[in-house]
Amino acid sequence: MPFLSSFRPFIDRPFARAAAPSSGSRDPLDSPLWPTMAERYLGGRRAVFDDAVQVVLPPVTEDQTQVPVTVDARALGSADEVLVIADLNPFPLTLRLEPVAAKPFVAFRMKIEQGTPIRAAVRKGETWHVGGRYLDAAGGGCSVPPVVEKKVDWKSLGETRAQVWSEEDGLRLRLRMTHPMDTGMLANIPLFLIEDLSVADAAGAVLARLTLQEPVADNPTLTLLPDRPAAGEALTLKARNTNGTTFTVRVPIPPNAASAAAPAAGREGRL
Amino acid sequence: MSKETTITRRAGLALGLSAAALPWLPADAASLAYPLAPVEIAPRVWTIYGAPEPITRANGGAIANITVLDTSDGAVLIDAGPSHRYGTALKALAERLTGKPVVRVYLTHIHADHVLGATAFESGTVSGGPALRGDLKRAGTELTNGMYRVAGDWMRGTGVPEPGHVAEAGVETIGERRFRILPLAGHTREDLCLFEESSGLLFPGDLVFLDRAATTPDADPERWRGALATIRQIDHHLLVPGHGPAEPGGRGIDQTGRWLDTVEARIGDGFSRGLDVTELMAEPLPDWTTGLAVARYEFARSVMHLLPALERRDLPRLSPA
Repeated sequence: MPFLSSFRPFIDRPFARAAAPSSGSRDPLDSPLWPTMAERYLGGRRAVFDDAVQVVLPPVTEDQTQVPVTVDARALGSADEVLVIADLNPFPLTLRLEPVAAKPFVAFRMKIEQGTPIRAAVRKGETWHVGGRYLDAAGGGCSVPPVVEKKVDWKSLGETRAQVWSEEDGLRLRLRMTHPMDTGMLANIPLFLIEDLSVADAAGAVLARLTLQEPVADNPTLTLLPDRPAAGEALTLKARNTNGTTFTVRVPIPPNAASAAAPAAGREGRL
Repeated sequence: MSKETTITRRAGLALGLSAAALPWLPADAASLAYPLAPVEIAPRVWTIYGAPEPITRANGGAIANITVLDTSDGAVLIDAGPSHRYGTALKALAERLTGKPVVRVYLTHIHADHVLGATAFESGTVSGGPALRGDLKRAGTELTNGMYRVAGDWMRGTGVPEPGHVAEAGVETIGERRFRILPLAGHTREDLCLFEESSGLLFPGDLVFLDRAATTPDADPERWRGALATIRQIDHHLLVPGHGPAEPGGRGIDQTGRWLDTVEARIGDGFSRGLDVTELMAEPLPDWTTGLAVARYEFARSVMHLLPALERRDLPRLSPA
C-alpha cells in the first residue's frame, strides 16, 4: 500500500496521454522504428494514422515465407500511392502501388523475418494516411511451418496465371507468376525478383503500377481492383524482373453480366 | 522535467521491489507442470484429454488426446504428447496407473502435439509408421523449433524423437491385448489407426476429430475421406479421437468428413469468386460448425493451406502476348 502513491503519477501521465483523443499522429503500434520509417519512405509529407486504411492479417502465421496480407484503403475513395512497410524486416519497404485507375487495394503474400508491425501508408495528395497491425511471427496450431525445400521452377519461369472478374463497380484481377523472389541475403543466391508490374487497358493506358521489393513472397500472387476500362476486352499485364526480362500477358475481361453467374456464397457440400 | 524523471524512477523501483516480493513471478519458469488428469474410459484404459485449443504458451501444447492401456506385459501408450516435459510426466503417470514399465508407445503421426514427448521413452519401445523415422529426421528440427517459438519454456529439453520400432500393418500382441495396426493417410502422409481387438477400442489418431475443427497443414482431403471410409467399417465399442471426447459410434467420423467437405467447398467457392486469402478467411461458416471448438481459427489456417494449391492449378494459364 505505501507504494500506491508513487505508482499514481507513473500510471497517470504517459498512459493518459496515450488515451487522449488521438490526433492521428501517434503510432498506435508504438514501434520504436516508425519515426525512421516515416523519414525514410514518406518524403517529408505529413502522416496521420487513419482507420480508413486497413491492413488485414491472418490470425496466425502459418508459413513465414508466405504470409497473406491485404491492404484495403477503399474507405478513402481514391489514392495516389500505397506503400507497404514492415518495420522490423531487413528490407522494410515491401511493395509500392500506384492505383492510377484502380482502387487503393492490394492483396499479396510476403516473407517475414520476425514479428513486426505491417503498415500501409496511403498517399492522397500531400498527406499520408497510415494504418497497420502487428503480425506475430510465432506459428501455431497442430503443426508448424513445413520445411521449406525451395525449388525454383526454371522451366516455367515467368509463367503467368490470371483471371479477371467483373464486380459491381469495377474489376477484380487475380494473378500468380512463377518466379523466385530472391532477396540476395542467402549465400550464393543473388538478387533475382520481379521488380515492376503494370496493369494496362487494351489501348495501353496504365490502370495500376506496382513495384515489388525483396519481401514479396516467391511466385508473386496478387489481387488488384482496377477500374473497368472504357475500351477493350482484355487487360495487359507487363512484368519485368531484375535481369531485365519482361513478361507480357493479356487477361480477358468477362462481360458485365458474369458477376450474376457467380455461384451462391456459403453453399455446403462438395462443389 | 526533472521532477517527472525522479517520480518515474521511484515508481520503477517500487515496481521492481513489489515484483521481487511476488512469489509466482520468478517461480513460474521453474515450475511448469502439465496437470495430467487421466479419465478411465474402459477397464484399465485411461485417456488424458487434450485442451480444445490451439497450441499456446498457456497450455504448453497439451491439446491432443493421449491414452494409457494396461496389459499384463506393461503399459502401452497411444501418442506421447507435445514435449519432453510432457513425456516425462506421462511416463511417470503410466507407471503409477499400471504399476508396470512402459513397453510400447505408438506414434500415430508426425504432428508435434503427438510425437515430441517420445524422447522421454526408451527408443526401442517407440513405434511409428515406416516413414515416420525418416520424416522426423528430415523435418523434426523445424517441428521442435516451431514448438519452442509457440509454447516457449514448456519445450525445454525437447529434441527430435527417433522411433526404434516400425509399426507394420497387422496385429501386434502385447500381453492380453491385440493391437491391429492400419496404416492410413490423409491427415498427414502417414497416419496410423489402431484398433485394440480385445476391448474394441478404436484409436484413429487425427484422422478423427470430435467437437473440435480438424487441422489441415499436411492434409490430402481425398485420401482423408478414403481413410474415414475404412475407419467407418471397423466395428468398435468406443472411439478415441485424436482431439475431442471418446464416444461409441461414428459421430466423430461423420463430423470430420463433414468439416472437410465444408472447408473444401467454402475455399473452392471463394476461389471461384476471386477472393484472396484474408478475404476468404472472413467468409461465414455454416451454423452447424458453431458446436466445433476453434472452427473459425482452423478454417483460417485451412485457407492458407489449401487456397494456394488452387491458385497454382486452376487460375487460367495465359500464353505470352
